[in-house]
Amino acid sequence: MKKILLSLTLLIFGYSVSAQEWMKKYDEVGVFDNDRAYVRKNKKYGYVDKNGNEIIPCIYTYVGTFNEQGIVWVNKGGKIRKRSRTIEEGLYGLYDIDGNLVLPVEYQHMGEMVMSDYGKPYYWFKSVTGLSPQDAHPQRHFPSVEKSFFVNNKGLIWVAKRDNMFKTTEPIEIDFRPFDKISKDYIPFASDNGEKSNSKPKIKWGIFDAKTKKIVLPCNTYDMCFNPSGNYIPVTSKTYQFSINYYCIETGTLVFKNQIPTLAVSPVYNGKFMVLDESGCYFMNMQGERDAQSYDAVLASPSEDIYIVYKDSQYGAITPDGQVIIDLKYKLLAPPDEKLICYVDKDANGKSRYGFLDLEGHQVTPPLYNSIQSFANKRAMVRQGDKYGCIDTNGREILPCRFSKIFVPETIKTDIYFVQEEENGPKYAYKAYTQQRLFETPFKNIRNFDRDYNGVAFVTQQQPGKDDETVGCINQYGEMLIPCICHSYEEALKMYYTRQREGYYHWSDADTRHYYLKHYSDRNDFKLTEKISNDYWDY
Amino acid sequence: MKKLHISLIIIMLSQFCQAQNSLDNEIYYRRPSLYSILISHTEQNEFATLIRGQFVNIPVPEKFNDHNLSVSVLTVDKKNAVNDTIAQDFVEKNHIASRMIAKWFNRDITTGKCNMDLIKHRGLYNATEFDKEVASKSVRGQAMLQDAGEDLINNTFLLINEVHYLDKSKISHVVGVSLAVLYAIAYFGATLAGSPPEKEPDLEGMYNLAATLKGFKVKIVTRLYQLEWDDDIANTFYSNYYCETPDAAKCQAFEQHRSDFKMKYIGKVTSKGNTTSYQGIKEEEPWMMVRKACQRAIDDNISDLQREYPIFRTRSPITEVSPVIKAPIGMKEGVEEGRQYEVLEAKEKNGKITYTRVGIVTPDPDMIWDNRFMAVEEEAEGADLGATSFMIVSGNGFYPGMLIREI
Repeated sequence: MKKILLSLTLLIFGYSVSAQEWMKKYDEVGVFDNDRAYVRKNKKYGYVDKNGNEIIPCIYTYVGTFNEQGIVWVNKGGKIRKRSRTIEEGLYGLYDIDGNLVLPVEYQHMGEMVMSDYGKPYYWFKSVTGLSPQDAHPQRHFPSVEKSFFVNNKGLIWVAKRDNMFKTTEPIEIDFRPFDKISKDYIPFASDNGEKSNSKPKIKWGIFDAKTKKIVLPCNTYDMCFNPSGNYIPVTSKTYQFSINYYCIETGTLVFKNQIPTLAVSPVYNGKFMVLDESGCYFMNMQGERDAQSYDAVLASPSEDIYIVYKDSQYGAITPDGQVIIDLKYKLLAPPDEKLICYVDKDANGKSRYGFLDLEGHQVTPPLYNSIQSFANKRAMVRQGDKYGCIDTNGREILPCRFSKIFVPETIKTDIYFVQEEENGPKYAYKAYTQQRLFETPFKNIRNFDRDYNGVAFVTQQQPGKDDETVGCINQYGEMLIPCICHSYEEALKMYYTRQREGYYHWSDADTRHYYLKHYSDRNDFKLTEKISNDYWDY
Repeated sequence: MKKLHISLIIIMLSQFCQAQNSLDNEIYYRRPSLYSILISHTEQNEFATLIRGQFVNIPVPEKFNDHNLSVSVLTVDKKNAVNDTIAQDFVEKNHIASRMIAKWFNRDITTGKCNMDLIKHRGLYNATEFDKEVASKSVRGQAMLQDAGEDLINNTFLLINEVHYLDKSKISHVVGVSLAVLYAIAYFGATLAGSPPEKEPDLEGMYNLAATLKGFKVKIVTRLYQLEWDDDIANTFYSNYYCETPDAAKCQAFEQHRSDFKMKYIGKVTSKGNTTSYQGIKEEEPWMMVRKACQRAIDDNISDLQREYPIFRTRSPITEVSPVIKAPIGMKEGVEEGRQYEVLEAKEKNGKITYTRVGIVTPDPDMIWDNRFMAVEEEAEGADLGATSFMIVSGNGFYPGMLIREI
């Protein structure tokens, strides 16, 4: 036992010594992560494992950092732009974490899949009688779509975007900085093929799949390729007129004999995809068979696998492969927001009003409201007549519709709301679901929660008999952290920050004394030789 | 022999243990606490008020906790009126040590009531656990108090900054008039930060003043003091003066024995009086030149004091380790090529925090952050880095949250 312990000790001790030895041959050794660290010698970079073995030889001008799939880029022959610290020129390749060269170092371009410029549309429903594009206001509408697409061929649904086209993600050439990570799953790459267009080299993109470590689209054919969708990659060879085909990863061939002229396409879903052309929107399968049903317009949801469709002035909802979820019978439907679909229908008096459906088309809220805003932090503002209220994602009223204005905090979930009970009246703080004022004293002005600090709202009160307003702050739980004694927002902000940093979370009488002392400028009028009375000291 | 080998193994193995801290957005670590005072020479009337107005705007450096008291500016009206003895006399006469201790315990000056909230917060203790252990007078609780004393209260400093304006330009009547206007702007701007000035600025006067301020230089003598706190002082305080509810007797006893608490004089440095670049100063805010010159000189003095007196050196957290090691310190803290920093791992054991060196790093000369005041406005190289990158000299297994300190 003694011998074993001694051997183990010597083994560990010996290991420790040799680890330091191999490091000495490098000018720099990075920090180990997943048992890999970059090394630098004579201005060249590589990677080693924890035993000091070079898994990526130290011959590259720059290297990246391994991404989540264990892939890293290398660059040979590139130069660094001093100002932006990005690399230009040189050739790129890819290694995996075991040191296998999975993409040869022979490509001039490497990129990432990014959303195109067209991807931020907004909606605005002015009144229940129809849409009013001229009044489109990006603040009061449904959330923008983060993925997927919108189509609009006749302007019946006006969306505030730059044009009516919308493309799926496309490769963008990026400039790496040393040790940048590459995109996670699909890595576009390309070579200059010798041709030029407008004096720029024409490049043909390919795609490398970081999960399977294989080239799924070779880079010698297509001008543009888009994010893979299952076994298919949308590709195009003509950029002056948009048209699409699908490249099948499994067979390495194009699905269709001819490109499909189109304005936009959707991802493939259950073997189907949507096409927009001059005639409308329709589904097509991989055999080129077109569905009988077509639509005038389709709007994709940002969060659910559901498309809102529009035809002959009626709205409905379908799945991304064309199955009907909600029949085409509504005057208006909006893409789901917090798993609720806003709709328009007649109320008890026969007037058109907004309400909510769930994702299966069942009614959650009857048609009661003249207008509805997007949900933010699971709350949405609603209006009945000229009074505003607030509902949650169950359709329940957090605040009833009896306020002339509600200041809904957009970025924070809190039970405290600032409201104006009357037009141009003072503001009050209300607690959700209680219909009760939190403080009886009104506020003249407010800066809502999160505007300056997380979970804090700054409020002002009018001093009796004076024009001055003094400033304090309240937290999201309704506690007054600083009473309204500060002379300006800046002063209150600074005081809040200082108190938080020092861990003072509750206000006391001593704090009030300290505050007034700090504003007594005479405390700084003493000479170095004087003894200063306690009246001028806070402690 | 067996036990020796087992201990050795544990030690060796721990060197290769890569514990990972989880971090919130802000990294919390123990900082020393600092109180700063300005001594303004009123015989330099032209700029004394301006300097004073700007000094109060200079924030406590991020590497320190704000331990400022209500009095932050003192005046002298003769040249060469300040020396070590006079400064020490002020510190003792006004019981600065007792006031800094009172601040540690959030002592209400009118009732004597104290609490440990600030100690718990700055010491990064779990508040509930701290209260429980201290209240039960357990061994761990005693150790936590001792730890708080050694690493927090004992690590409290006072800086007395004596500022001299050095500019040799002739001061004309026109400039004198402009200064009067500017005084109003600067003073009101300092006392009510952000509020609009009460007077409309004199544009012609400001133009003349800007020309004058382009040559603005200061010389600052900074004296460093450390709060004395040991077991004896702690015992006396806790026994005789500490109370968590108002106590008239203890309140009075503390007032009568303030002089029992002391500050220890450590040393002083003098700034070099270098010219500060006017670049980055907006034409409509020429007084910022005063702040820039003062703040940079004070930062330099703090950096020099740290170099000269290890007791005053601060620790800074490592915020990234991959792909390179980074820490949010830079030229303001005196980071320059060739300096070496030890990497410290903080560990808590039985209520006490200890710091162990696990490596050494040195700044990457091409990646030193210029975080001096207004470096961004100056468009200084490295001003946009956000942190300095470091190269490893020795050690490994670093992780975010470890601390570095210059050696």
